[in-house]
Formats: sequence, structure tokens, C-alpha cells
Amino acid sequence: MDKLDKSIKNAKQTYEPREDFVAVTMQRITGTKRKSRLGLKFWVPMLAGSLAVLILVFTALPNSGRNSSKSGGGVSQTSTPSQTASTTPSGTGNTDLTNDLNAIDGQMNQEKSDQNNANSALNDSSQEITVPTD
Amino acid sequence: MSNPQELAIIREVRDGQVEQYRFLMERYHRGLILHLFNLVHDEALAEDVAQDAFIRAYEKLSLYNEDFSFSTWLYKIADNLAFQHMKRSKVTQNIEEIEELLPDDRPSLSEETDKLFMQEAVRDAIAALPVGYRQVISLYYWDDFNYEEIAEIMERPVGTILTWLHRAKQELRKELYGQVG
Repeated sequence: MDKLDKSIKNAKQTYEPREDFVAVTMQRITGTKRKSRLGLKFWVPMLAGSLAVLILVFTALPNSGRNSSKSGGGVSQTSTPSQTASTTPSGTGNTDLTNDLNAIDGQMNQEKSDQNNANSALNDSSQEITVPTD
Repeated sequence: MSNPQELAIIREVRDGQVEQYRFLMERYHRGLILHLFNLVHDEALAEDVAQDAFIRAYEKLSLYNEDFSFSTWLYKIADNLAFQHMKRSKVTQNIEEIEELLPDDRPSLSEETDKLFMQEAVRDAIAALPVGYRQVISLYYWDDFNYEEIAEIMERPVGTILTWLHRAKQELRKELYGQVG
């Protein structure tokens, strides 16, 4: 080891780190651990609950659809020209639901078509109003 | 390679005995903090980084490779964290930037001139080195790691470590020679 090596060796800066370093770090580590346990206690039941609600919704939806179509209520209350399509209750179960969905599709298409007509009418009228400046 | 006692503690921690981790911290925290302090020159930052390194090492303990000592792994994590801090504060200097300025040969210091150097001058010269050189100097001279361990910590080939150590010393000679001459 030459002189430079010795000089470098002796040049190390030292100081006393804070005494509670280990305790504080251990606290952070165990805190993290506790946090993850809390996470398990919190997130797992929450996820299970959400799953249960979803299952309920999906199992109850066909029944409520059947009930509403039997009672004549539900989606067929808005009046549009396409309403005549097939919103009257007929049959049971999936057939009713399919009919209802078809009715909704029909209504949406009709509304789109009405909107397009209105837009083109607006365009026409704005063109009529335009007056050449020169 | 980890010593058997250390390895047993690590396995216990892995098995859920978190409190055992305290033994590893008691063993290495002082050396690690001083190592980081000599890299970043800031006591608070050194302690923060050391704390983060211990926590990171604990969280990733399942990834620890038992072929190397725990200290090697811990220092590797700590140095990476320190460099992230330094990059954010932009205090690093690339080794490549300074290598071109190095002369090929420098006269070695005579005993007479070496006596003139105070520890402070050597510290200042080391502090002015590019961070990679500083890291090699710190790990080799102050933390007593061997070349293979330094290569593992710095994720470089052993040959590169030897070259950097040589060039770091060359740079120090130049710096200290300049101060005298």
C-alpha cells in the first residue's frame, strides 16, 4: 500500500448516525406489514361484496325484465314513432327480453334518424338565410 | 457468500419473523450510512437513503441471491437509490466526461509532498471525482469490499472496476499534485 492508498484510507469521513435509526426503520417495516394486513382485511371483503352485488344484479335482471314486460311497464313508456315495433308483452323469459331490446334499438335508430333530419333542415335554413355581401 | 448465521436470519425473516431483521440492521446500518454519506455528502440524505435501502431489501428479500453476502446486496440497493437521488439533484458527473482529460502518466507522489496533504485535501479531491470513481474508492478503501464484490454491487465487470480504481487514483494524484505544484 503506497502513501496515496494510506491517505485515501484515512480520508474517510465519519459521524455518528442518529441513535434511533434502527428503531425508526423497524417501525416503518412493521408499519408496512401492518398496512398490508389492513389491506387484506379491507380489500378482500370489499371485493367479495362487490362480486356478490354483481351476481345479484345479473341474476335479478332477467326476472325483473320478465316482470316488467308482464306488467306492461318498463322500457316501452316513451312514445316515439317506432314504438309500434314490438313493446307489447308477448311470450315469456328470453323472448320478452329480446323483444324489448329490439324495441329499444328501433327507438334509438328512429331518434338518430329524427336528429339527422333536424340537422339537415337546420343546414338548409342557414343556407337560405345567407345573403351575398357584394 | 453469506455466512451461515446471517443466512439463517434471512431465512427466518423470509418465514415471517420480521423482528429478526433488526439483527441485520444493527450489523450493517452504521457502515452503510457512512458509505452513503461519503457518496452524497449529506447526513440527512445518507440516512434517508439507508432507511429506504433497508426497507427495499426487506420487501425484496425473496429475490436475494444467497451466492453473495447480504451486505453486497444491501449496498447495491443503497447505491442505486443514492444515484437516483443524485440524478434528481443533478450532482453527478459522467466518468466518460473526465476520462478524456486524464493524462496517461503522472509522477507518483513523493513522501515529502504526501506529508503536506491534509485529510481535508484528499477528501475534497475524492469528492470532486466522478460518482463512479468515488463509489469504487469508497467501496474498496472504506468499506473493505473485494473487487468481485464491488463488481457485483456496481453491476460491472471486474476489469472495469480495476480500471476505474486505477483511473480514480490517477485523477487523485493529478489533483493533489496540482495543489502542491
